[in-house]
Amino acid sequence: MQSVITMRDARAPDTVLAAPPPKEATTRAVAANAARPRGAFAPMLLCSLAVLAWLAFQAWQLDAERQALQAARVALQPTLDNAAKLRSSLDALAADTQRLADSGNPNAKVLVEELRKRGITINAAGGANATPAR
Amino acid sequence: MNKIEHGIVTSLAGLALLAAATGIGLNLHNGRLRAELGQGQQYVQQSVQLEGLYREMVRALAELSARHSDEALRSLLQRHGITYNLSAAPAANAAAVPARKP
Repeated sequence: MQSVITMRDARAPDTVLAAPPPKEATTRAVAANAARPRGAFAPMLLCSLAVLAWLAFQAWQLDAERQALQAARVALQPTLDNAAKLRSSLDALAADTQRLADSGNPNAKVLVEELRKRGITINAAGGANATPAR
Repeated sequence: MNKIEHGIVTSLAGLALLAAATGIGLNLHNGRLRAELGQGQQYVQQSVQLEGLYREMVRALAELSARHSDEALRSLLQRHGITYNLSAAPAANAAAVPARKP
């Protein structure tokens, strides 16, 4: 009988340690989580994805802008060609008129003089450059 | 960070660097294209002004040539592909239209 009583007394403290109150267990779990080292992978992954998405979007926009600019340049090319032809014709006509005036043609002289009065000079030697003065 | 995670993040950073380089290159290229377009439009604008001058010159040369029967001026205009009708009245000579060379 004596030994049975002793065993009951020895078990009592063990039972108390194995099942602590719920509040204390939560506190220990939080402390354990705080002490565990956290990896930098997740934040770095998010940062990398954000930067990559932003830069890719910008590159896509710039590529669309480049295509629009190239289309505008192609559309402008015929107008540029016509303008160059017109300038070439004007230069040639003005140069010939100037040469004719230099050779003594009175009508060509009249025209060259009228142009000079309006601020337009013809450079026949230098490829006939007629520039309107505005 | 283990080896796989390190590889993932490094790959993403490499892609971001590539996208940044592409963006910078495209930005520079677009700037050049914009400047080129601006110059072209300015050239066309100036040419529109010069077209008026060209027409006035042709008209004046044709009028002078017709009024004074100046063969030198007539041949000059013909060399540039411009012809006019001598039978027309002097006022109608203003309608001398330059025939563009093909």
